[in-house]
Amino acid sequence: MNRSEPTLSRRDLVGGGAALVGTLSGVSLLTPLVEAAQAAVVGEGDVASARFLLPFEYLQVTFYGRALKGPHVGTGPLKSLFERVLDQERQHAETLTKIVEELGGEPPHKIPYTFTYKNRSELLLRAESLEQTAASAYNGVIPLLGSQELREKLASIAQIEARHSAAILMEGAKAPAATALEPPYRPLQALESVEKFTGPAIYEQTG
Amino acid sequence: MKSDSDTEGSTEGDDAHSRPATRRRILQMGGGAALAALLGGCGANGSGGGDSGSAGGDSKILNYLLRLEQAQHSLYEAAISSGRFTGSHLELLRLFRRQEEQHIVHLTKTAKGQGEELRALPKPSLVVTDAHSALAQAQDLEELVAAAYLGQMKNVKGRPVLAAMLAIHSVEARHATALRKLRGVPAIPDEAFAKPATGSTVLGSIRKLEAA
Repeated sequence: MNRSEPTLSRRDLVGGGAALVGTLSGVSLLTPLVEAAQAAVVGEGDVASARFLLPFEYLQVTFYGRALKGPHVGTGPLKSLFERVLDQERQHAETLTKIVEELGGEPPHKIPYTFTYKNRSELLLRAESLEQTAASAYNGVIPLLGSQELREKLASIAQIEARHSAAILMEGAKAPAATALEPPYRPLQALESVEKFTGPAIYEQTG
Repeated sequence: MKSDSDTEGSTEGDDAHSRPATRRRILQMGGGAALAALLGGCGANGSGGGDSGSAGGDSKILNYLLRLEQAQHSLYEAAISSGRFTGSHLELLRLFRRQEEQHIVHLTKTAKGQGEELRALPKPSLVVTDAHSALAQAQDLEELVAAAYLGQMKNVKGRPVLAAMLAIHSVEARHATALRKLRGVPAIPDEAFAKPATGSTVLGSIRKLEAA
């Protein structure tokens, strides 16, 4: 994979280096310093960027797979929606895995995920969170890519994640687009937003 | 909607290039034809190279996208002022109109920040005949614009322009999803990967909108 050994662990980045990312991101997402700080979280090169996004697809595949086996999806439109979304998340995961391997990398290992919800409403909230994170994680990582072809490929997934997000928001009787501009998540911000499902292992999984 | 050659967009728009799209001519032509003229006149296509004459080299793409945004805004304006929508549908259309306005502002600011050259935009005048066809037209336009943004992702040169496009691209897809749901079409399309559209494809689809 031709990746240099990081001098900071993911956890270190959360505690120390992450502060740099956060501070600088507040000024501008795309200054060279911020880009460097983001690259420190994601890793170097396109393979690292693709690899960074893969756990978000793993998470979604696991979430929808479990939800469809549980009692809160029902048998109506939400079930149909989740089935379609699950199928598409699987395809995203397969494609990203292939991209990582073709670029000479190794897909990240899978870690245990915990999703807790007591009813349909909470289930939808978890789905909203996952889809928003995925859409915004892609939008945050794509500008780091060197390959223009990969940029288009990952944007084609980002668009579908945004569609999933909108459809799920509407299932909960919410507006499909809360803002006119989809917020890009800084890599660390994306990790933090799924930590509640993964525990701290997510910081090592993407490293 | 797969990427075509980079030159097709210019070919499609040759006529419009040779006859500037004045406001008067656009109004005379009416809805879809006016859109086709506007889009043809901007000529965005594959590489985006050649004529930018601007600091960052993305002016061609930015002009193209601004015109698409203007078309969307005009369609929502026509739908809202038609009096054919009430309640939650009207609220959604108002939200989308407001967001398209914000897209125009954001693209314009991004262009200026990058020293890109923008052209004055004539505003198309669209007519909404009934609620059903207006929603169908809006969905088609949202799908088209999302595909148009995606089609320019690999052509854009400046990172700030790319970031602006990404932020808007996702929201256009959200709009399309909502309109699909309103129309009773499955909210999520079958395909797991969105398809890009070139400038020439966008023009072809605009013609279909006109025929509809």
